[in-house]
Amino acid sequence: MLGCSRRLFYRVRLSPIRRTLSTSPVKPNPLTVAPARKRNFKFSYERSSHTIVEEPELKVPENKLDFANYQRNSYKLKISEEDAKKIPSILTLHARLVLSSKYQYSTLVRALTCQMKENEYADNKQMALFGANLLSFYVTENLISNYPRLPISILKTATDAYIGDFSLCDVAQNSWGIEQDETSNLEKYLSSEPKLFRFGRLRYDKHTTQVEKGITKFDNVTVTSLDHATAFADAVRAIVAGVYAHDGEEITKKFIQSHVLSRKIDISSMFQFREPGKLLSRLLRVKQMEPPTVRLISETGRLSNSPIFVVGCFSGDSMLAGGEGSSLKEARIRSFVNALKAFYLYKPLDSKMPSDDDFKPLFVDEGEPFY
Amino acid sequence: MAGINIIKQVSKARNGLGLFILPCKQITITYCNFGGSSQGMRDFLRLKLTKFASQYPEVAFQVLDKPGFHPVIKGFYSNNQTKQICCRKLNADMIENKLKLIINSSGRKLTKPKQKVISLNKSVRGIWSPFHVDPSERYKI
Repeated sequence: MLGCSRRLFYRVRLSPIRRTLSTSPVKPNPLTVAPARKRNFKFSYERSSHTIVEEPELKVPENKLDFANYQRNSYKLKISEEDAKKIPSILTLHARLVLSSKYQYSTLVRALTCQMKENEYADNKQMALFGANLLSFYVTENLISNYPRLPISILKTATDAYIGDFSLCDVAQNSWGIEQDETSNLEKYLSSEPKLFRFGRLRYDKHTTQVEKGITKFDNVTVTSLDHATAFADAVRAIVAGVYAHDGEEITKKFIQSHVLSRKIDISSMFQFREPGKLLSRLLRVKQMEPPTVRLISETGRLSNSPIFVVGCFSGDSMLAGGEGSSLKEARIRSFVNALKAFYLYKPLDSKMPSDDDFKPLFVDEGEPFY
Repeated sequence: MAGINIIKQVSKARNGLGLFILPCKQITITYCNFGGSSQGMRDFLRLKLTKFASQYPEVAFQVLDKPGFHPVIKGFYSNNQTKQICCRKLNADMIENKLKLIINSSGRKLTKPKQKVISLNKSVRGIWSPFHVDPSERYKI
């Protein structure tokens, strides 16, 4: 009698395990495609506002297809090549970036001049727009061909981590050593600095004024005024555009790789999963794999105050990822997160970019319908 | 709601991985035109500076006459730090070595490293775990 009831008890306990191991008897609901929600914010690298320049503001060259010689009428003055060669910070910047001899010094001067209210010199506005497009092209192709399964939100965040305002500002200030023009005209006069030297520093209309140390006043927001980070980032973008104009596409690609893509980002720490278990089971359903099962691999000190559990997340017989934690729940969730990251951060061994010569078409994941 | 939140990042510089950019961007040299302690500096400026400065096109050299003071060389770095060395009574060769010292430093403050290896990357091997050892070889209490 007693043995019979024990057998019955076992049968009851085993049944849910058996059910998770086999395919689900109930047919799962078909996945519905939710309409894509419109993002109401933009990353800083996408924010460049394309301004339309009207016909009367333009000097149109005789041959209308000669796109390099279109000029805005507002540029009345331009720093000549001879003058630019007299500015020490321009000469050193040219040498530090290892720019080619084709790259003109006057282009660097123009790249360091942002659009300002009272400025008649050629500014970097259009150059920065073009440079931003070049940067986003090369960075995006690099990320997509290295991580073909990234979700779109993470892909954009990673692009922003490379070429957003703050990153490029760090490139300009702390790697390239570009300085901004902070001294007033009086201070320049007193230090008997030549007038030309101010063109060697980044000049822009500031959003803010420093009233005294520790107090910043946001009072100067106009059409042309810029953030500190945006102004520095625009200088970098303009310099990249200059490399393209003087040296061509191949050198630009190398320039971006050595100055921007060589920097460190950690994509795996950009993810923060809400309900990773649900996400994983949906992902496996889309990929037509068996639903996830979590099994305990080993444990210690279950009754102590510092237990450790090691679990594995399985789909059928194949183990997707392991996870460890101080409670069963924690270990389980960690194993889900590891499994999701193992899928999304897949990296082909010899990835080739579309702009490479020996590029072969690659499979980019189409993305999941449930985001 | 299940989904993915994003955590924004800013990329970190790894100087020398793509291209090495010299952290030192400017050197200011001050000297006195008649003081005895500036004798070596005056020799350096007259005989050696042009050749020395042309070896480092990345660095802007600025020479200032500061009468009545000892000669000082001051380096400006891209991390907004400066480093200065007084060159009182040094001869031209010693000054050249001091200049090389300024050019070759990173501009970071001198600190004693606590770790033997400082890296942005995580350890390749990870933390050793006793639970992934084969159960037959596991240590038993």
